Amino acid sequence: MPAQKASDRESTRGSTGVSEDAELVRRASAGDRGAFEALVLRYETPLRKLVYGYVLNWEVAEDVAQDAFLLAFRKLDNLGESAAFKSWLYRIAINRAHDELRRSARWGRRLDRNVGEEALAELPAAGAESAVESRLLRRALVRELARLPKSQRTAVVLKDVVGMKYVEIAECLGCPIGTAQIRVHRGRQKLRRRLGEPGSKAGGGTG
Amino acid sequence: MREERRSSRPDGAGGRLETLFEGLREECAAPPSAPGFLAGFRARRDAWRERTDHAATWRLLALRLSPVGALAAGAALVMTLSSGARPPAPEAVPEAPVTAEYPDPFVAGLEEAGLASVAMNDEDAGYELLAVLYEPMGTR
Repeated sequence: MPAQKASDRESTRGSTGVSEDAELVRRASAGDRGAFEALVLRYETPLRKLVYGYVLNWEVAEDVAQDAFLLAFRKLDNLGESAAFKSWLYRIAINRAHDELRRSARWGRRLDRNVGEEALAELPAAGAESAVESRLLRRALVRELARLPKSQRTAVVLKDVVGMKYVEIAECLGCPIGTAQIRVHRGRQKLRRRLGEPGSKAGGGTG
Repeated sequence: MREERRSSRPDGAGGRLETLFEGLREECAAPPSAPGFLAGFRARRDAWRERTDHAATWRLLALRLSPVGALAAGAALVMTLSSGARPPAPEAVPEAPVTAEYPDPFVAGLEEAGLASVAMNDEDAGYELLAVLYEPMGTR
């Protein structure tokens, strides 16, 4: 039920959403617990999606997203009046997701256990070769994503995995739209270069 | 956006990369419901608050104790120096109670200056400084 509400509200963009956020933040800062919980309900789903783009595991994404909300709750006073809650919250979640990845080095393992298996299950009966190739490619992709510089990795994940628009990425990263585009472009270039070989090399050669 | 269309052309590695991303995007776009999310957040928040409350209690206690500790240490040093004796080596410090025969000139001076008051110690009929050091300077 809360997830449904959040996804409904997720589509609400623009000044109305921002001003509602600002009002909720103001009330939450004044000690209104319900106001912050309303923010949690509003951003729970988008935040889980965002984190999933990094960790590729829904359970971990939920854990990290809750942690990000707690951090936001604790640091709410640090949020300036003019700052947008949403992008601030997203930045917190991105940093937490990076921490999570660094701490547990789960990129490869997650993919082996989760994404790779899902890929196998979803593939039509087009032959074992393509299934294995697809799995290896996905594994290689995630490994190569992890090797990108943080700024490029973040931009590529937000664009190509989470599916954000450039304007949202720029808002989220606190940079101009052009910078976001360049980061995505360069990140993709590197990925293409590294994954440019046929799937056998991409799957087996990285490490 | 134009750039994105260019880069997502399904040609060779670029096309394969885009296909891979598409798969991940599809997974990302369909999150499972998380009915316990808010409850999980509440639990974390309450646990954090509890920890913070405990920490605040200890900090307050430390703040209350620290002036007393500092005053006691300062007074002990002043008394030692004013007695003309060199500060003994740390290992040689006797565990004597902070008592003095009254009227001790030094203690009397402290009392006159409003820095201390002296109380009779019932047990050994001496005079001790302990109680007086709890009073903030300049309040008398």
